[in-house]
Amino acid sequence: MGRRDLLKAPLLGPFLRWRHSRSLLQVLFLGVALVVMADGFWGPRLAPKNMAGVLPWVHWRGFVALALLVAGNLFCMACPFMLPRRLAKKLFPAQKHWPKALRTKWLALFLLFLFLWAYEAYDLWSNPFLTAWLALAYFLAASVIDGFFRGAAFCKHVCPIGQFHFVNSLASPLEVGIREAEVCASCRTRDCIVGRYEAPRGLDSGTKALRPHERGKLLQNGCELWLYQETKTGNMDCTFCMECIHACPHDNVGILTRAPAKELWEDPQRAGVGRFSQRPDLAALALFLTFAAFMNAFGMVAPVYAMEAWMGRAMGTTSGPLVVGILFLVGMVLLPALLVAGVAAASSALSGSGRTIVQEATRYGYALVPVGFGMWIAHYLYHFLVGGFAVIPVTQEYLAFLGLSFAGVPAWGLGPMVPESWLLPLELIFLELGLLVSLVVSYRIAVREVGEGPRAVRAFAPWGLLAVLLSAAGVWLLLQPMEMRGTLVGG
Amino acid sequence: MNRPHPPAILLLPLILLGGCRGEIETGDTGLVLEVAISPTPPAVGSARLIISLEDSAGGPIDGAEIVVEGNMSHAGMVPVIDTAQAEGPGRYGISAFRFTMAGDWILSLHATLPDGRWVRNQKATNVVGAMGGGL
Repeated sequence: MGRRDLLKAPLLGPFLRWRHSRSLLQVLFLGVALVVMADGFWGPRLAPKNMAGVLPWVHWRGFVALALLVAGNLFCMACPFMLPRRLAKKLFPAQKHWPKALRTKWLALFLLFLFLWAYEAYDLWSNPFLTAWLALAYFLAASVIDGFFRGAAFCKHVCPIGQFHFVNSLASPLEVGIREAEVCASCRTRDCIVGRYEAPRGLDSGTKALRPHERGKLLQNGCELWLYQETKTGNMDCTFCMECIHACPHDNVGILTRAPAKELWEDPQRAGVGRFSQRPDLAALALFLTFAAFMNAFGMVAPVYAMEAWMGRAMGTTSGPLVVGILFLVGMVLLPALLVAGVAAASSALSGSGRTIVQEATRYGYALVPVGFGMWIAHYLYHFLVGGFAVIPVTQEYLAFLGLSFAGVPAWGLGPMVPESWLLPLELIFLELGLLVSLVVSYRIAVREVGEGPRAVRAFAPWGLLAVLLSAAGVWLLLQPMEMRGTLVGG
Repeated sequence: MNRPHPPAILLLPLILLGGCRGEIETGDTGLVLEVAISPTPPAVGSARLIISLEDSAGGPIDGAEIVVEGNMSHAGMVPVIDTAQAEGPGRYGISAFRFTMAGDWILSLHATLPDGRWVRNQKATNVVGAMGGGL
């Protein structure tokens, strides 16, 4: 079956092809971000009454999960942090190259850990003031970093939220890709990567290519994440910015449908990324996000509070951030590292691949992304479906303060979007769907690595077992009594 | 290259103004509104709220309308709103205030006197107990 192209869809296609569609989305989201920050800094302290309590932690996360599930990385596309960052690019030189030593995902992985730790340790979900500070810090970081460095260094190497989108969008049904390979093969200008300038690049006439500063004004950026379309594969590092779509003089780039998760078991040389199997940092990021999905959910159920209290007593401390830090270090880093190392060693030994633990984990680690994604969806959709309509009374109150009484009296009784009895079955469906896809991906990777037959089954078995164990842990989590509680170690 | 969007920039002050709602006012400082919860800590389900309303000299105040709104600290949960009944001189109560989930709750009390004066107070509490079936 041919691939469908979203750019050719009625209504949506013309909008997306419009050169300013992304800017419009970003302006809308910037407005939302400003409301969140204003209310977070100066509004009510009670999170349920504050835009900074409702919009980021109930709606944004829910919409992110849904968008990744049914489409792709739409939230990077509409990212509001990019507007001030674009201004910074105009004001500052932005000529420095991002340091070679940092051209990996390790820094982003560390920041992602910090982000998840801070969320739990400082109860960001119940603290609009800190949430507003976080958003402000994000604006500043994106602007400063990209004001000094070339391209989209912040998105590719720093942004923790972006990494979440990149990894989970590997299982999404849409990707930005080329329509006809032959068109790219005959292309001499490569505007999709270098950008489109007033003067042509010069390659068509067989002369030496002109350098960017010799080509006049830049009319259209190329990909700032260094993903060259001809060899770009999948969604890793793609922000759906659509620069390549607008830059291509042959109209050969689209937003295409694909088999979700297929790129997890394929290992081609990817433009701007390389081979997945040669990127331990990428595999570590994928594995970290998988285990983090379960630890993040663990922070919302009753047993975690008993565990934190016990840890506090054992350590002789009442410092919540310290206890949460150690708990997360063990649950998101040490325990996963031990588990994955054991599974990789077993897989290598059983299949006779002869690979080291790191080599094996770098090949198979991506297989766990879907089960982790399933857990993220279950968790985020829970909050969204339970409190999706809560934004209505908060907005009514916000507008009433502005004197816009047309919105009526705040209807505080609004909240749930579906009956409570639907929640658990829905969560279980997403979790088990993720498990199913992880099993398929694990086996496909095994076949790719050792060929069809018993060896593939032996290579697959430990990874399949780990995916099942993770899914079982997820089911246990979903069945636990839920508590929305801050970190009260002494309690 | 994309240009700035002047209309959006002009909207900024309006957008930001709504965030200046600030903290709720506490009302008449000569009134003392307190609440106790039984059992303490409360469990998921019903709990009794015992409310007292006095003037600054400790004299009971009767005839007030007292509304209690319970919110969880996490956004997105529907608040529980109930009205207290008079139970004696300066004493009011809600016999079965329904805590719907375990976790951190903030009770916001608002008392309005017949003469129009009013007072607000808040109390944080941690609700224990189980409610299975969903994250």
